[in-house]
Amino acid sequence: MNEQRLGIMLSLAIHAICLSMMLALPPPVLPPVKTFQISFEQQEITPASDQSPSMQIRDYRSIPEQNVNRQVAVTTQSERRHPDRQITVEGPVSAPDKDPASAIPVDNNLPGLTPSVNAGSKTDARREANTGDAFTGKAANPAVVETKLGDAGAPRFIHREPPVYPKLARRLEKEGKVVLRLFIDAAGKVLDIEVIAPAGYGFTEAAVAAVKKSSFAPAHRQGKDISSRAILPIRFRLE
Amino acid sequence: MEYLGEIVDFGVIGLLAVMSVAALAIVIERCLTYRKVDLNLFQDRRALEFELTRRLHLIATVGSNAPYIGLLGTVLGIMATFHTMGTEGLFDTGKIMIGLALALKATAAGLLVAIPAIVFYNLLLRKVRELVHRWELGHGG
Repeated sequence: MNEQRLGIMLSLAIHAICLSMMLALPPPVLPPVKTFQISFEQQEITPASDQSPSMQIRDYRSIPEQNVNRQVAVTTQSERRHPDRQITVEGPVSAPDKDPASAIPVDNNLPGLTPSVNAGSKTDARREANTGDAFTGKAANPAVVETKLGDAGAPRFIHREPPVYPKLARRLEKEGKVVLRLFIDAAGKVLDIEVIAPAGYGFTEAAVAAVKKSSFAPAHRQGKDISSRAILPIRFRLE
Repeated sequence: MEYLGEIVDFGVIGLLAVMSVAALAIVIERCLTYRKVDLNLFQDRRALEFELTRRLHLIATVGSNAPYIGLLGTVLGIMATFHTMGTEGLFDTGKIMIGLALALKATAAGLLVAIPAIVFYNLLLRKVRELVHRWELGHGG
């Protein structure tokens, strides 16, 4: 029975050698991977004369689910999806907390409410137009003024998890932009993530996963932490 | 349904690996035996054949069944992929393709086991016939 033992040993050895050779093969050569950059688009505190916020808003309007207009909150409300959420404003004007029904909708983008807004009449006109458009859409949350991450008084990142660039998109050299709306409560917890501008190739999933791993500081106004909604555009870019 | 993936990974591939090791061990053992065998010790042809063809059927079994086992693994893997697609929704072609590609590895492993097994089986069978004929020549069979 010496042959049997020898056969088993040799067989095992041959298999081990074959396996190790297969494992030692160099991994398939991928096309040279470009470096990539993922940026959270943020803006500095923008005065009303700056046109970029309104341009930003315009971009979102093609998506049906969105109600991005900040001004809509003032007058139109038939349904309120988040009655408990509070206004986040950037300006010094305060709105009553905890009572959305009686809340004076405040937005420093509104002409007349905030002194800082009167800078550009052109911009104001554009915003009026935005407001008009939004009336036709879904009724906005009355008491919520949207913020953008990075604005004053808006939620901030405590820990910012960089999104993983989706492999497929990287290989296909696709770029994309995802716009998320985060509902962040007064404790800084992300209650809900709404995708207002999805992108294919796994961008949306990557962005949502990154936001879920990130942590935020709540929005604050007049020294108080409040719950808020914040828009977070994430751009995936190859360089 | 996630267990299907594990069945494919560990069950089917593991079974194929065991079969491959066993078949190769038998092949080596047979080769050594044939080299050593002393034809003059056998008085009867049937006794010689009995000794020579021992365990050869195991190699044949491995050779004929390994593709089926690999195919079974592939079917299970595709089932798992479809199930994942059904539950999670069809959102990423890449993921689906990766699932299917990984499912096909079981078939590849089965063929990889079966082809050498059949080749060696035929070689050993030829060797057996050769030895038997040589014995017949020597003993005037």
